[in-house]
Amino acid sequence: MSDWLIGLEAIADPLVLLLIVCGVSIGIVVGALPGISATVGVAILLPFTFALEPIQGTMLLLGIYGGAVYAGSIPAILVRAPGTPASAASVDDGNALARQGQADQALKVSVLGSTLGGIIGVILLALLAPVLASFALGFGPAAYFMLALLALTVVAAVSEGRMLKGLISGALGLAIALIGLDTIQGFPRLTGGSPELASGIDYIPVMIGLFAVAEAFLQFENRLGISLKAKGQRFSPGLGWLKKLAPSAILGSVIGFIIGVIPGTGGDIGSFVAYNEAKRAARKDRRNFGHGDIRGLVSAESAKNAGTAGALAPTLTLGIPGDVTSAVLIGAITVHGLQPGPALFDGSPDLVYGIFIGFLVVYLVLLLLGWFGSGLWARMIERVPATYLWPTGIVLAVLGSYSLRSNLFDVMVMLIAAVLGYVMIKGGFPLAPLIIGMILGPIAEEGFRLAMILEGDLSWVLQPLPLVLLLMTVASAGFALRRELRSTAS
Amino acid sequence: MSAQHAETPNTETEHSQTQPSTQVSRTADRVFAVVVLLLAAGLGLAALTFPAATQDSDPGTAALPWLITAALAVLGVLLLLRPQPSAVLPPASVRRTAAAILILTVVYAGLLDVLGFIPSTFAFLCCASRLMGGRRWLQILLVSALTAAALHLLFAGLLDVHLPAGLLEGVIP
Repeated sequence: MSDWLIGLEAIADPLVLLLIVCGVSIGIVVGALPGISATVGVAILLPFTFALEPIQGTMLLLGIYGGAVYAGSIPAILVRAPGTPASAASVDDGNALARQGQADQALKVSVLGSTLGGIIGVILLALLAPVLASFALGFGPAAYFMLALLALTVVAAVSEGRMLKGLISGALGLAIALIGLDTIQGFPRLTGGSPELASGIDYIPVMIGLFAVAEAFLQFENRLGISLKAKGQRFSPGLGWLKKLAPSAILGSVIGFIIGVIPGTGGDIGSFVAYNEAKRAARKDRRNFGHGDIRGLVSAESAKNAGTAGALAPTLTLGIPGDVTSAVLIGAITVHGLQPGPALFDGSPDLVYGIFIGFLVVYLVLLLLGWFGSGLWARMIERVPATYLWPTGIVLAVLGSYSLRSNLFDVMVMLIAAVLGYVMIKGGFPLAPLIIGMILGPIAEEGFRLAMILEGDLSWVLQPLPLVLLLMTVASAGFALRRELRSTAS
Repeated sequence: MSAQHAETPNTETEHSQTQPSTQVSRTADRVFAVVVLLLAAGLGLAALTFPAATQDSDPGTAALPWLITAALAVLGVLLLLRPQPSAVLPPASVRRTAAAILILTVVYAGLLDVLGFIPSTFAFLCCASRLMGGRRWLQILLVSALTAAALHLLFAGLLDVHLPAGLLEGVIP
């Protein structure tokens, strides 16, 4: 129990609580703006966390994460334009309600679903992660290799309809991670004799460039405005309303969490799966789904935010990112010399258990801010001055990569990544596999080589855990391939 | 990424409705495929120079590079055979803006050490806000100056990040 008290102590700090409120507020605004996903928001604000204590910085970023994933649904409901990809499943029912004059009700369903999903997700995370971490302490190099392979396959597989480009993006990430000393023989690969490259390319400036600056460049091309007018009557919820929502919300939360746990996924897919399951569970009463059914909306909403907590499970216990946003979180933690993974649970209980408690606080804050301030947020989001927002975003990115080690090398890396990201987005290449490949490449290589050195041959593949993971990898690759073939056939 | 960047199967009809000046073609994918193949070749050549493993069963330092080379080569060929239509070049109307912000950012990063954080940031913000469509000069100057000063105060003062002083060496604390 003492770990929980240490975590509570870490969170019960006025500055941490203030950072949570700031994070959630920033998250709501950026999440609702077109083009800024949770990842972009977290990447832009990442530099602020370098000088903060690990728990302070992590809570700011988690606040943004939770807030942005929720707020992506505000424009999805009001104008059919999801602010973040995870809100895509909420468009049909949410917007149908808005067109029927029920925008207020739809927004309240969204707040309630998102926070409930987040809270259930965090509780499941807090229960599951310590068990998973103690289990993961026994993971050998073979298991880590297979986990990394699974995550890479899943990331490429979820690049819907663009698997070829997703795979190229992932291979590029693996290639970038080759730069520097190899971990087993200490041989400098692809450094061209440069001492700066010998220590490898830090993925933090790459992430800032790829996600924050590339998006900023695009915003200079098409300046998007947004108009969020909620029409129709005010809605005051009653007990019957809550009773109608509860089963779909709980189902959605559990599904969202479980899918979020799979390395490389997150809320984007969970919300669609949960929506379909809620529809299936409604049996004969499903005609209204897609035309403004609050049960459909709440299942998608709860699943996407439960996915944020699910994504933290592999991130914290294994150091393998659950989705791209949690990959940025890994960056925020490693910058302080800490390494996410099972050892973190013993080494920094204040951070790990602080994250569990703090993420719960994030969702409580979100419930208050979202429930009572939905009108206020819509007005604020409309008034964000894009003229100054994006230039300042670029300054923050330059500043952030500079302040990492006070040198211009990282700024250069960030700028190259920004141009690369810009070209990739334009060419239809998903960015997520690149960054996941960059993080997982070294884990996979070291795991494979150590397993080979330890066992002498490939017999480790048949050990129970690696074998199960291998089967999961083959299954997800097969699933993706089948879908890809179908989509090209049709 | 948001929906606007997602590739749609019917890009051709889409573009004729929304962005008439955007050129959609399969050329971009062919160029990408060639770049991927060149990368594969470069990586393969580099991997030739990597030393052999020092331990018997270790696949060695060149194993993963070879694997990536093979993957890039296969994927590059596949992309060359199955290019999708896409619009990589920005519409002609904003091509200059796109190039300008790119160059501006590079120049800004280069001048950071020379001019110092506050002057270079101020100059960058003025130009970039102008590019972003800002028209009122007084407002731009004011907001840029305040933002630069506030960021300096926040990072150098509160967060203890060392920022280059440049022109203002000795003037600011």
